[in-house]
Amino acid sequence: MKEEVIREPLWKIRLRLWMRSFKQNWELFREKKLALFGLGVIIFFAIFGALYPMYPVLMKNIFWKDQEDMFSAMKPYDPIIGYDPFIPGHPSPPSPRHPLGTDPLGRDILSQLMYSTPREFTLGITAALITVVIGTMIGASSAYFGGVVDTFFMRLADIVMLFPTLALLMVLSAFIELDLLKLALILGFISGFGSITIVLKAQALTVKVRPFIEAAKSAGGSDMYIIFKHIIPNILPLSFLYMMFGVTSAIFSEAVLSFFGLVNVRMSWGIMIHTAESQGYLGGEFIGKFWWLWLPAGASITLLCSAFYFLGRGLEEIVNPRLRKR
Amino acid sequence: MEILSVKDLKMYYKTKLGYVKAVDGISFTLDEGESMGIVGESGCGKTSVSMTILRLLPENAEFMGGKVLFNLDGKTVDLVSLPESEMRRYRWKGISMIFQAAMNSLNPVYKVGDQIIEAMLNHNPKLSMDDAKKKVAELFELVGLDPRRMDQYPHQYSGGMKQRAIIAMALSCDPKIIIADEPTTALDVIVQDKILREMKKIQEKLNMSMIYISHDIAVIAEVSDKIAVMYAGKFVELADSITIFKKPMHPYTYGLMHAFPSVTGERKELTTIPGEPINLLNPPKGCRFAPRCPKADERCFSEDPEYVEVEKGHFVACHHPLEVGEVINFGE
Amino acid sequence: MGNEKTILKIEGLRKLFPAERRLFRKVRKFVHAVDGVSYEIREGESLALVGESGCGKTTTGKILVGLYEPTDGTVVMDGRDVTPFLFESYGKAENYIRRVYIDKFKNGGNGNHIGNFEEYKKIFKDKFNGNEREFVKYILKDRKKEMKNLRKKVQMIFQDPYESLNPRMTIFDTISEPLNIHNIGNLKEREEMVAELLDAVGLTPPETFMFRFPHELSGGQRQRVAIARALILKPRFIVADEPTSMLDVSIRTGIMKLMLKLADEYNMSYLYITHDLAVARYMSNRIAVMYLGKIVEMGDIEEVLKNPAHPYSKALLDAVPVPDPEVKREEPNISGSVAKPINPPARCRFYDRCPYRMERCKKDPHPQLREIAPEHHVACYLFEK
Ligand SMILES: Nc1ncnc2c1ncn2[C@@H]1O[C@H](COP(=O)(O)OP(=O)(O)OP(=O)(O)O)[C@@H](O)[C@H]1O
Ligand SMILES: Nc1ncnc2c1ncn2[C@@H]1O[C@H](COP(=O)(O)OP(=O)(O)OP(=O)(O)O)[C@@H](O)[C@H]1O
Ligand code: SF4
Ligand SMILES: [Mg+2]
Ligand SMILES: [Mg+2]
Repeated sequence: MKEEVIREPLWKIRLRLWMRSFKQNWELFREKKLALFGLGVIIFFAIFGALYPMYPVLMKNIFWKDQEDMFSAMKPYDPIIGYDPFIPGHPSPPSPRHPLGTDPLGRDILSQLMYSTPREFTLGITAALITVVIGTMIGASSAYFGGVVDTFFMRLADIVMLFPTLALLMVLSAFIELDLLKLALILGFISGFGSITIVLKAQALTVKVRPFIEAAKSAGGSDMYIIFKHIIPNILPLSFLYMMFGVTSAIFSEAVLSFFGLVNVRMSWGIMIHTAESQGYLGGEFIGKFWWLWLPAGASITLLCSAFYFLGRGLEEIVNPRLRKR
Repeated sequence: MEILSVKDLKMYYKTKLGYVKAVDGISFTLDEGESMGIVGESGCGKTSVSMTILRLLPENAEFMGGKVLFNLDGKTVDLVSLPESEMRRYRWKGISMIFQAAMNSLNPVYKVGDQIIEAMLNHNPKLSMDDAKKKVAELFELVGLDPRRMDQYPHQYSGGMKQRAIIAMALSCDPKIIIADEPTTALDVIVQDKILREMKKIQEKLNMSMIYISHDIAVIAEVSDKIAVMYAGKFVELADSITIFKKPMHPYTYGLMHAFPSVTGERKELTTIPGEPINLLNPPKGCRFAPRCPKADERCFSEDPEYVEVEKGHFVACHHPLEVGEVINFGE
Repeated sequence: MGNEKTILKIEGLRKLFPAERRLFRKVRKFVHAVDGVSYEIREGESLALVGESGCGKTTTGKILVGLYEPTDGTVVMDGRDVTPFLFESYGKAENYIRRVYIDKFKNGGNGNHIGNFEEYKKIFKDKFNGNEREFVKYILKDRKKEMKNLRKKVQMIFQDPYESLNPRMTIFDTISEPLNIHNIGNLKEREEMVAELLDAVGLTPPETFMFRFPHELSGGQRQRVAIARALILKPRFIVADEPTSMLDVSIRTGIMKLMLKLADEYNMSYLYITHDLAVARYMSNRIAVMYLGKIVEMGDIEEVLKNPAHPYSKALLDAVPVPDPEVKREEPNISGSVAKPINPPARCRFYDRCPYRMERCKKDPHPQLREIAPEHHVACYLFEK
């Protein structure tokens, strides 16, 4: 459609309206300390991951200054193939050269941690996005159409919820090579049919019975128009919230699968722990002695997962007025 | 004989954005056997007035002053200064209340009769079960319900029957005054008519005083001896019902009177009061009706009009009260 | 008035809702929400539909705007039967055509209340040589488009201004939504149309309202927005479902006056649904009193209010409180209260509460509407010899 604009362009007005509602919600959000903490942690990890390319450069300029020509071919800060021959034994404890030590294969832990961070984000957010897109559409359609459609998807959700996703993935990993993208797709897809559809359907049902839906219908809006223009925008905040929880569960699932070495990913937090475990450093007394092998990755998983979770809970109070204390 | 006298009652709700001045200097008296109506639009503070009198206020309510003198058996007490334990004695037995939308508050899992008995026992623990049952049966008879329905559950009642049960509950401790907050809103006209008639009959029979609260001036006109018109936390006019209708003096009262179409008589033009009811949150100074009032001048915007008795029993708060027969035009 | 053009004519409209839920078995209990309602609305006229809660007023209105499918009956708009387009599924529309047209073409029968009955009969005989399937196909060939056209002509205003606007859409988006759906105009034209309407409904200056959200408006302002939305397609006919009952008294009259003014300006007709007889009198020229799915009395509003004939109308009128403390009303002569019309017995719907009921009322079916005076119809055996 050809769109002509008078006065202020429409997108500008829309942007301004959006900014305003954002501001109002931010005011509410700011009061939730835990959610703020979650947001802080997420931002921290985002920056942390983004800084990865800087890390070797930085270290080179500090510790390798004199030895530049000698070892220019070596990459001791590469998270996957790096091996530092200047350290007598691996795994080595934290030192100025390797702030978080090295792993049993002589690789720098901090670089592994940083390298993995954007991948964790990608995985979590991709999976959650898929979940939410599927869940929102199914939830909205089930509520709107009811009847057979509804019954089918609700029973399907029951089945998915009963189904052990992780076990399925473990079996699946024997047949196909699970890389990060495939994992995100599968995780997102499966949970998209799960409990989220039930929650969103319940929400959509409360929207469906409101008279503005009938107003749109009597204006001639088609089913799809009403679902996309009226129902989905009104449940979107809740979907967004569930996306946060989705990120948590995707990151966590990946960690578990990697821990068992079932995922074909070059590096991830789960794999870091897997490496420590497979080399026998997590058993008995070793676990305390070689803490740097598992603690950074473990703490990162826990922190990032809970950060998204807290953020979700904080948003929930904004999205769901019933939880709002006034 | 005067049974209730409210003097300059003030109660504000404290909110994040400031004080909501819901009850801001209300005064009136009520005689024994008299019925008073309070009319006003949604949010003007009608419910808040009754809740302040009964001291059933939410946490964020702040009592800002005033007196509620209640005369029981020749003794006058100020309900405002009573300790809570004493106050409890006056609620229900002295003044009882039919809450707004109370018919939806009947507990669906208990029998209606039992709910009334429980309310009675709460206020009179010495009552025996048999006496309580007998009393409930009498009350049911009084409000026009079949006593056999005592053992039914609320969902087996129609809206009108639920409202009757609520009235029976309010009567259960033989109060001297009943405050009925929108007792018939949401009921059909025929049911409303029956309930109002019933209440009027009971009131006359038991020589009770009543305070009716409603936004419907026609309902108030039918049941009240005198009428208070409330606007934005204040009474703007109070007089006996005929006076209020025949010679209203406050422009808002005038506007309200002419805003209702009627099924009888001439088909007259209706007035529209322009603008919106003002926000009770930090109201501006001056008369609160001024922004909507065609007679307002500078004084109205700067100086709060005093609530004065212009003739016996007729109170008005307006700088420019209407003359008898004066017509005002609210414009389009 | 009297012989102006009829815009809308409804014949024997029925709507049953299942009153029980049964899996795999036929539902046997139905709420007879609307049970054989007929009336017509003339150009520029407003018909008030009054009655107690649950008597089927809203249902009648919703059928007209295509929100419910009729169980039975015919809706004729501008002389043309539009009922087949009100059905969502082809099959139901086909059933309707078979029942109302084809069966009558074949077995003889009267369809004169439908303006295009004879025309269809001719098409059926001449063009399709009695080929039923082809005939049905022919009538329903543009049914989606027809429905859209119909929706342009008939719009509805809902009772609750707080719920009838999408909280996530700006006022501009809400009002221009029908334009969007029907693909009318470009953005600039839409803006102009919306601004013009906002002006017309008294939300001035329009620029200050266009990009607000509903929660930033008062109840009265929202209802004005709802009215503007209903008007934007320039409908011929508006179903107004208690548009003022949720509003404050001082604002109510403003909306009522606005609606009268707009009816005049845009030459629209109303079906004005209300439970308040006084409002009905202010807004309408004619009135239909409904009781449990049936119209029991209908006619010129002043005539009906002055000389109510049906026992129910009388009681209803007697029960209206009068805003005059000097008037003492009679007690309405009626007992009991409204019940839900679940599989009601065939006799007069009002029988159980009627103070004048006779032996005949018990045995005979529900009485037909009969003209007892010019422009005054009543359905009651008291008026039949
Ligand atoms: N707990 C509260 N905290 C803050 N404001 C309140 C509270 N309760 C009521 N209010 C405000 O006080 C004002 C008076 O409320 P109140 O319920 O007394 O009005 P009302 O006249 O009974 O209205 P209605 O006819 O709608 O019942 C309103 O503006 C309302 O928003
Ligand atoms: N979608 C539905 N499903 C089942 N029953 C319905 C449905 N809509 C309405 N009904 C029933 O149909 C009857 C008529 O309802 P309707 O809403 O038309 O009444 P109304 O006259 O508009 O009442 P009110 O004045 O309360 O709005 C009622 O008994 C109602 O319970
Ligand atoms: S037909 Fe009979 S029962 Fe029905 S309203 Fe008339 S008199 Fe009453
Ligand atoms: Mg109230
Ligand atoms: Mg209705």
